[in-house]
Amino acid sequence: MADTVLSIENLRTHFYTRDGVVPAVDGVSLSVRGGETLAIVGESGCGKSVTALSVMRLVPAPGRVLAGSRVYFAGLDLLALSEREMRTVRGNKAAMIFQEPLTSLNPVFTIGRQIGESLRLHKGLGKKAAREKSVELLARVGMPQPERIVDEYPHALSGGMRQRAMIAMALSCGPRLLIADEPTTALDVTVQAQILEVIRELRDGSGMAVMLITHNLGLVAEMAGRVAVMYAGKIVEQGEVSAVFDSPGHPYTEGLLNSLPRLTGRTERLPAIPGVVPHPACLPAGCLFEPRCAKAAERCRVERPELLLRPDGRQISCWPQN
Amino acid sequence: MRRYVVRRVLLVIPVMLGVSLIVFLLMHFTPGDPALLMLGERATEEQLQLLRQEMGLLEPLPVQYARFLGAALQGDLGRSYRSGRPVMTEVLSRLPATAELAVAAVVIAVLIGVPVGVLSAVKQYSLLDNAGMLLALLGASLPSFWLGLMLMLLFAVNLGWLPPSGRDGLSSLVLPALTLGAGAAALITRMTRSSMLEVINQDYVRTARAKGLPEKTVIYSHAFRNALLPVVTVIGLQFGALLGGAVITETVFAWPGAGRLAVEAIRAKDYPVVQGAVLMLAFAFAIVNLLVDLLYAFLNPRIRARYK
Ligand SMILES: Nc1ncnc2c1ncn2[C@@H]1O[C@H](COP(=O)(O)OP(=O)(O)O)[C@@H](O)[C@H]1O
Ligand SMILES: [Mg+2]
Repeated sequence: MADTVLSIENLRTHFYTRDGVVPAVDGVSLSVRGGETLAIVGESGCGKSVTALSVMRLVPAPGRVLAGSRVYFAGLDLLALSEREMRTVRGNKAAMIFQEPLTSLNPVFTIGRQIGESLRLHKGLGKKAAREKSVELLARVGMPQPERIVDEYPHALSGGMRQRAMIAMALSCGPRLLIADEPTTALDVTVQAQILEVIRELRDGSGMAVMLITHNLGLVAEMAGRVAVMYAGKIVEQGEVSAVFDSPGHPYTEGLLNSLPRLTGRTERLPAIPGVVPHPACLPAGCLFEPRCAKAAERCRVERPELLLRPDGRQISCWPQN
Repeated sequence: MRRYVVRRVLLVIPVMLGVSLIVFLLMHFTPGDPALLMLGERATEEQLQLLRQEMGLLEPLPVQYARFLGAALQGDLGRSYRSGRPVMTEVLSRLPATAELAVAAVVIAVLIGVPVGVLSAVKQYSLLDNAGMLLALLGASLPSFWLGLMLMLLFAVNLGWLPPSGRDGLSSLVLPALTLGAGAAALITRMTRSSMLEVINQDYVRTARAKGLPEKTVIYSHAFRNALLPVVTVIGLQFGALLGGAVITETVFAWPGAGRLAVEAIRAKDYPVVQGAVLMLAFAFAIVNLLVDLLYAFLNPRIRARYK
């Protein structure tokens, strides 16, 4: 089994807003091995993006990663690095792509310049070498006419092409970890499939670890080996994708799976989970999911369950049913 | 890009036609008989009528306008009633002084406005930001004649560091340029700040950080280049406005520019000179705006691409 590339222990990232403290991420622990894809799923607002930004140390103000959190990456204690040291990691050994391909590229610089910038910064390439390498990278992510595209500005590219350019940029320095935050959400289905194929190929080819953030469970089944289900800043279930999908251990996971569209029959209204994610500033005293849980018992209302490791390797935070 | 340039240059024509028409009509409907002005009170009615005929004042208005326009296109804006010299010569001899003042004012405004605006945005709500915004508020609200007199009082009369008026070397340029540039500096500061603040929160700035770029590069290369676009437009508009707005400053500091020429001419009812000065200032304004638009297109790949 390959080495663990990323290991997060008890990550807590809170936002100190004027209206109070928002515990956006509250005690998350997870790890990703080389060549593996770990999916992080959960409804919008569950803390997926903040988890990713915490790893990259790019949490915007007024957010802060709390003391006691640990992020180990390729033998480095990331949270202990100086900002200067951290910059040698970002975009180099650990790269991130974002949900918004349309706005994530700088409109006044050519694609080639933006990809080349990472290469010149981290690999010390000259202008010409960086441009040649950029063309090569664009070709590798399946960009049509890379020699032409390299001199284009982002506005001349479609959303799918821009996301390819983003991936080329992220992969330029041969990262050991790729964090993809909803990389295909804004794209149509065929483009989505192409982008995922690119990521998969690169992962299998180079043994890169991938942390794939998505709320699309179909995508998880297709791409990931393991999955972590997040709810209100915490992980509520974690395990092998096949096992979790076959027999979800947490009612929230079950709810997510039930709201998946099935390919059989007519398009009927999907049984979505009733209610909404609680606002992080006013969380329930007991289990965080209890107000929305069909199986909630008295104990769930008063006592919060821990995330426990079961003998089969699955982690679930739910009181034993019955 | 060439198509854009051609289109933009052609656009100057209707603008100048409009301006010339307005100036012509204003002058025509201003009370006062040019012939009487030229010959004086003691001229006989016969003499006056003869001169009116000579000047073409008896012909229908459209003919007069066409004649005025045709002459203007050949660089003939008539003669000054006072000096008898061609208006073109008079205005051209004053235009360099105005241009010098406006350029100096814009340079000062940009040198103050852009850095203060950027720093204010990067250190939002800091002491520096608050001080900068207070200064910007002052700069925008102080009337230029008052500011000019105060600066003159302090630096010329009390401290004696700089000459109080006239145009004699670089030292005499400082106070008028500061006076004229203050309002523009304030506007550019605010525009730069708000533009930077908007850009700093864009996704591509986050991308730049995620690449591992130093914060300096993120701000001054990735953010600044984008924030500059609207600022360039404001700078251009301000430059144009300064050409015209120099009238007050030129009067306060006895600066021998085209603005003051126009004021003197109005006082003396020297209409051809007023007309010529206004027309030439408007022309300068149009040319400056043209240059700014071209610069904007050069900086913005989207516009460049549209006219490829
Ligand atoms: N800049 C911010 N200021 C305050 N709260 C924030 C900020 N960014 C995120 N949050 C809070 O963090 C929570 C998790 O956000 P996020 O990680 O973006 O969710 P998602 O799982 O959809 O990616 C949200 O509920 C939000 O309230
Ligand atoms: Mg998100």
